[in-house]
Amino acid sequence: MRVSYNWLMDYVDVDLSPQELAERLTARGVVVENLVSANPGVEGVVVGRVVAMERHPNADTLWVCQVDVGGGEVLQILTGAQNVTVGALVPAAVPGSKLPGMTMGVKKLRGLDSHGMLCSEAELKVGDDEDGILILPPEEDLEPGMDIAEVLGLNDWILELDLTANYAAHCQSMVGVAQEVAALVGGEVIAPETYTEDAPDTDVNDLISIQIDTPDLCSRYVARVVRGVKIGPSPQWLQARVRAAGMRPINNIVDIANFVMLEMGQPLHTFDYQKIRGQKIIVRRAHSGERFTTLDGQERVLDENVLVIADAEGPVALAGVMGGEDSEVTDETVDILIESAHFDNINNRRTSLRYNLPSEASKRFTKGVDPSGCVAAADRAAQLIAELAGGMVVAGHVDAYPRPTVPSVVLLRTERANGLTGLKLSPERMAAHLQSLGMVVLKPADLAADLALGAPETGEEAGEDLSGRPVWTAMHQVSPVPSDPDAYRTWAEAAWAELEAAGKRLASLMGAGVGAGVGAGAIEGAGGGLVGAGDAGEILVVVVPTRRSDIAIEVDLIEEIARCEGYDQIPLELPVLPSTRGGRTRQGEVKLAARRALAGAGLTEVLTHSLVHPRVYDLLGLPEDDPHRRFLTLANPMYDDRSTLRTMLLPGVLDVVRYNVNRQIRDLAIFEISHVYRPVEGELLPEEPLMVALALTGNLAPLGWNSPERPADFFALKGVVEHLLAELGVQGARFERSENSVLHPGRQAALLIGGEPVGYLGELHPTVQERWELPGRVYVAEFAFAPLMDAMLPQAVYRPVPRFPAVARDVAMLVDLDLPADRLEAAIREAGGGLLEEVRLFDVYQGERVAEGKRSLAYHLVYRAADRTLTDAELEPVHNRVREALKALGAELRS
Amino acid sequence: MKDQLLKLRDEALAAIAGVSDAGAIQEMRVRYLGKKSELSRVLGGLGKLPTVEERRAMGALGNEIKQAITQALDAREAELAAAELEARLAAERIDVTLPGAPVRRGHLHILYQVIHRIEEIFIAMGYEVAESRQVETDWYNFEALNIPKGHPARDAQDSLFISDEVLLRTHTSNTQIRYMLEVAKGRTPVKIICPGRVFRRDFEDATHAMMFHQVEGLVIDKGITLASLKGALTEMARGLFGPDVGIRLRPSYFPFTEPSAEMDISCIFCGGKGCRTCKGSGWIEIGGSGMVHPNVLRAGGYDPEEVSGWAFGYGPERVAMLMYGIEDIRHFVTGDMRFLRQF
Ligand SMILES: [Zn+2]
Repeated sequence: MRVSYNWLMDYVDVDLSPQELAERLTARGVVVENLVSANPGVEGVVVGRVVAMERHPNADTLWVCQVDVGGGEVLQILTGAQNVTVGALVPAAVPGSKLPGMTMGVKKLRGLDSHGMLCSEAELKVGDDEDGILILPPEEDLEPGMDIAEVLGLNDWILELDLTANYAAHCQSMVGVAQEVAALVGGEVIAPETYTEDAPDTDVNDLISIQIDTPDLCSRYVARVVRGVKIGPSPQWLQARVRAAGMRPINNIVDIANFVMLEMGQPLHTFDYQKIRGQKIIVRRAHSGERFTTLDGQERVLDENVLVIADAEGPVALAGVMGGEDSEVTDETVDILIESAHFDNINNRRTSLRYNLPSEASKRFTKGVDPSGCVAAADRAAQLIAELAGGMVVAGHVDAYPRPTVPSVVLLRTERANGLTGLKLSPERMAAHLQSLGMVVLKPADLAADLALGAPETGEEAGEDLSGRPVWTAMHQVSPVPSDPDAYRTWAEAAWAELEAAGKRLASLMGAGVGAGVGAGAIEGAGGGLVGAGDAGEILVVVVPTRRSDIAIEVDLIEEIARCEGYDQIPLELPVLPSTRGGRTRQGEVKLAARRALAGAGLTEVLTHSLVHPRVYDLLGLPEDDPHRRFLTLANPMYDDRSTLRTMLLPGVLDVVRYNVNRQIRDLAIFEISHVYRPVEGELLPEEPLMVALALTGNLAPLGWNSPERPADFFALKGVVEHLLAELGVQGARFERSENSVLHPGRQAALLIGGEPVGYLGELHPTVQERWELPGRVYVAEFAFAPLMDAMLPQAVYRPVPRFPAVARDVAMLVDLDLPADRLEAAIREAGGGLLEEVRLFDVYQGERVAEGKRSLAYHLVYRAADRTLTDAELEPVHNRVREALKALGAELRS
Repeated sequence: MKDQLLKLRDEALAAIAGVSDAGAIQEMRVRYLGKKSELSRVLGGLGKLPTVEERRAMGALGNEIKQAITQALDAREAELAAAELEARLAAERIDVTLPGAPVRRGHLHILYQVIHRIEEIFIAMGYEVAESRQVETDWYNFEALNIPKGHPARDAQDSLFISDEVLLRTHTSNTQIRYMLEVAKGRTPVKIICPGRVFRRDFEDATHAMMFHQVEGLVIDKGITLASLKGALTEMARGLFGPDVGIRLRPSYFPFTEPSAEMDISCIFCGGKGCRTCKGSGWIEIGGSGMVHPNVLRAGGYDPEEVSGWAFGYGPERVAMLMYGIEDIRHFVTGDMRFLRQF
């Protein structure tokens, strides 16, 4: 919403600069996102009157104009525009004046002097039209020499509002913003004049009837007619207003409709009355397949989801979105039908999105419009049309109002307001804040009095006796009440129901039974005045105008009070709370420990996208029936590359490797601990297990001046995994040769915990590596996190520090190549028993010096007894058992 | 004999002074003090001296000379050893400006570092860290948070849907509901901080991401006020940005809170005087907050007449970007080592 400061001042009298106003509105939650000057840089340009013109002797397309620029001065100005006529009022940029980006001087054009130039809309930056000169409307109060910036309303500031949903509805009009400003300074809103001078002996009901088939989508439709108008350009002041709001002046009728919408917030539509067939307006859903040409010339095919305004023969408008070509107001139009209606926000938004027809009107319906304002807006438009386009206003409105909107009655416990905000305001101060926003604040006793009198008689007459009914009276005052007798009757029924409901809430708040008389007696019994009611303190009965549809319950009022008082007035207190033991969940703790362990091992943590393209599973070469290919797909993806939820971390991690390698960063050691998403048969929601992924490539340590480079390999990767398991204290982990098609068949293992496979590690298969466009070998691992957590020791197990010396023995052997080392180690440990403290493999050799099909392994064994020094005699049988066990496995001992 | 002895002494001392290597000292010890030395031979003639007095006097002189030679040898030996050590140390001199042997340094992701820091601040104040699922039902993501179908807030948070009922959560607020219903189950106080990954349907550029993170806080108890929200947020801002930072609440709107407030911190770049980052206002917008809406309390199984609560939420990416001057939100997910290894 763009708010012109000058225009705003028409509705409220304040003594604040635009800057101060912007700051204070923002502090109240009406956020002024930008405050910009309305003047794009026009300075010294004046109104000129063309007094004579002739063709340039040396150029067919140029005109030589003599222009009266005021003060008796006539300048020769040349123009290439073809729309200038003698007598026209035009913007004259005289020598020395400024346009956005340039300063005027005297310039020769084909041999003749031009003293400055005449300006187009585009040159003044007030519009897009760059072909013709901006011709000002011929008005009495426009004189040559007047400052064009003043005339065009450029000496102004524009407050660009960024409205949150709750203020969006009531602040999308000048009057609505003025209400906020008035509340801010304690002033009054100067409401626009809505008096109409109706033509005698006319009745709009003779000209048009309204039928609403869909009260759920159109709660109100008000129509007025103005006859005998003359279509033409709007006066300058009106054009300036429309421009200030960022819209384009079209003609007097359209401009007035837009002006009233901007001023009062009620979108209007104008029809050429003569084009409405059958003197009938029907609001209905379109028929499936119905065709309709909107005024942009597009033929649209409609269906039941679209709400249309139709006449006796067919659609004449997409309700609240766009009118039709056939019923559009044209230069020949003489009779105008004004539509001032209320359409459902959701349906309206869908239609405008579906046909890609965003408009100021549709934007307002989407955010919510106050149906109580329909009549006033129609009146305002009718009167302005009569004044500015001639014609006469046909007496009366047609007002179809099947679903009336009534003011809310909301109860406020003052104690609670202070209790939620931490403010310490008196009930009187709270009441004053609410009143400043146009609400009426009463007492419980007032509500009791209303209830005691019972439901009012709502006969033909709308102006019934209101005396002795304070809340009822307020409900009539805060927002306009329909004058149509039928509409009023439905309104009154709904309003009384609202009042009674408030009475019931009050009775229950005050601890009284909600029995006969809807608690009126009980409320009265509790005393008059602002009633004390236990913990609730005093209770205010607040009647809320219908334009504040965002206020429905007590906390809504509390927010209004807090923002009127100012959030900066809320004291700053440290929360006084029972002390609690804070902390992470166990998963959170372990996850953090794992991250720290991996970073401590020199790996860099990465964070990759949860959304991936499903082709990643093809790049990995996963078989068609691989469970990782069962993924969740987005119904409305934004990009193809982000269209499914990942079922494994590996693709993201490989992408990171490729990204870096492509940027000459070839030495990588990275990890990620994050969630994957796996659909579960028969369940609405997927599993989101936490996974760990690792990748190593290039050198782990680069070549240094005194250290060799250390290339990544399978065992470096395995070491990282073992380090992580050790840091976490995971028990019962084992590695086993595996068959994973993504990995090198000879260089991969499954990680098992408690005998169950939880993941894999290995060298990426060369074909996968190639498909992923990775130049070097990559070592990757991915395994589930939860099994690690389940297998952790709760804490480290302490053994006393040894007091007796250890004895070391080395044993070297030749074994068959296919005998896995872990079997040898297991045999050593078993045979060594309790005395064997440490087993460390320190040499592995295969090659020329050993027989083919064999390899040589050497272990360093450490023996120790906890309670004595081991003697050779004692150790020998044990160590021999170890040697025998190795021989039993086929080892050929070499020492 | 006396002359003989004195001559021997002078000869030995002169020779010792001239020795320049440690090996020769041992030789000399043998030559001047050994059994076959000249000194031993001369002193062997003591018995042939005429008087006891003479024998005694010459014996004493002989001992004196032995001692003198021993001392001279020891002193020279120590001198030579010191010189040798000095020479060795001089030879072992290195260029200490050569680089040290590299130890591979790992890095925690900067975003998680920031999230951990936020967690620590709140853990110290007795908050629990709660996490929950990212693929969520419409009820937990919207309905329970007072965002019924058709509510404009659903448009503002363009969602990524799996089906009509299931979507990627658009905020971490689902954790609030799940914690209330599944963990707290009506108990008070509730004091939680909820970090996590969230998703929006958005174009990706330097300041917008489809996947980002949030940290939300929730407190529920009797007598919770906006004033204590201000207090907690101030603690958090100071913990993150330093002791001089202040906060400001501005009225705003969120469907799940009422009253609602936008929270700003005083500009960490200009201290509130106004600069380019804060667009001259002296304040930087950080996130949203407010008193938990009664409908949300009810959805979580709490009676808004009995307890009240507040909640806040903001993006740790934004905090990290402010803290370090990071210019592009995409850096967090591209995995560029030149970015990640800086933290
Ligand atoms: Zn600043």
